[in-house]
Amino acid sequence: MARRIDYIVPGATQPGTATTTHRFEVTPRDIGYRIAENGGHLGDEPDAERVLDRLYARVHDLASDQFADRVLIHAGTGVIGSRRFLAVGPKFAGKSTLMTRLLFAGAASEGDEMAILSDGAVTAFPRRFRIRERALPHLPELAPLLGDMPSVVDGEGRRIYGFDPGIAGFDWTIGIGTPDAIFFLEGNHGGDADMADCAKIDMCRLIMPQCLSHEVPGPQVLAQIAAMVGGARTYTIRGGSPGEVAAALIHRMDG
Amino acid sequence: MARFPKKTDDIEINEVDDGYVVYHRDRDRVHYLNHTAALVLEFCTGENDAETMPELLKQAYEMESAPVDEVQECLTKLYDEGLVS
Repeated sequence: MARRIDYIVPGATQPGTATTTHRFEVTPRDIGYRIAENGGHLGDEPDAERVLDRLYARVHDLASDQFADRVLIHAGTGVIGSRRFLAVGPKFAGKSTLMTRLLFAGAASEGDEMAILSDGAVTAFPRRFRIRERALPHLPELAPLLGDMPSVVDGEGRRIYGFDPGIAGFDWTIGIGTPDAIFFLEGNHGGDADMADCAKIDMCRLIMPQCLSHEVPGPQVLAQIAAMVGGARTYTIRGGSPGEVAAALIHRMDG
Repeated sequence: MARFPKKTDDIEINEVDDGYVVYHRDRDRVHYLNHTAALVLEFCTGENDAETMPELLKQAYEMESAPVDEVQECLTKLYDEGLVS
């Protein structure tokens, strides 16, 4: 059970200090498990998989409440040298694979899925990097670690691993800062990686559909995105293997 | 379309290096204006004759000839989207 729950436990060092604590306890019963939150009954579930689902949903709701007044962007975040970058893209654009590939290429990848924007600074939503089975050929370094990584199976029977960079020897620390560069991943995997300068107007247009916020009014989301984009170099990346994209991104950041 | 178009009050403009990201509050729509469209929007003060705007743009960009059709098309779009009246 503990190993399974590890899937939702990020081991990253995070900025700031915790403002609230929630204690969850999972207790086996004659049939199934009882889940308690802060000593109160949260629910009963028949098996470990349902326990994980319940905890994942609850923790996600708690986190969403904390960030309700922030803009969330579907993006990986990291640092190369001393420069912070965002890799923005829709679902299945390859963010998680890219951020993991970047990690093994020497970048300080901090998050793979969601960035939190506040007062012009971005930080990674803390969660393990989600590595799908089909991405593993691009990440051979993970092969000897798979036995130590918790995983789930999605609705289509495909395994998704929860990768904590710490188990690969990386110092997984999530920082916060204004992005120096923003890359939009246009998917279209395969072929050669093609990186191009992107007009800031166009980058705003690309990023807006990748944003969500519960409490920030639309005009303020726009203003925050425009301000963030205005202060960064902006590029699109189309095609290429994760390794090629990572190399192109690092080369651009080093320049 | 008015002869002296005026920027709508009900919009919020966010400026980036190469244009404007504009939010129209009443219509709840977002518009992305390139530099040229942003300039045309700024010309719409209610005091500039629409017919003089191509010449204004010509001077701003040091063009050889005034982009009459382009400005007319731009103004039409701005008007249709409710950014000017």
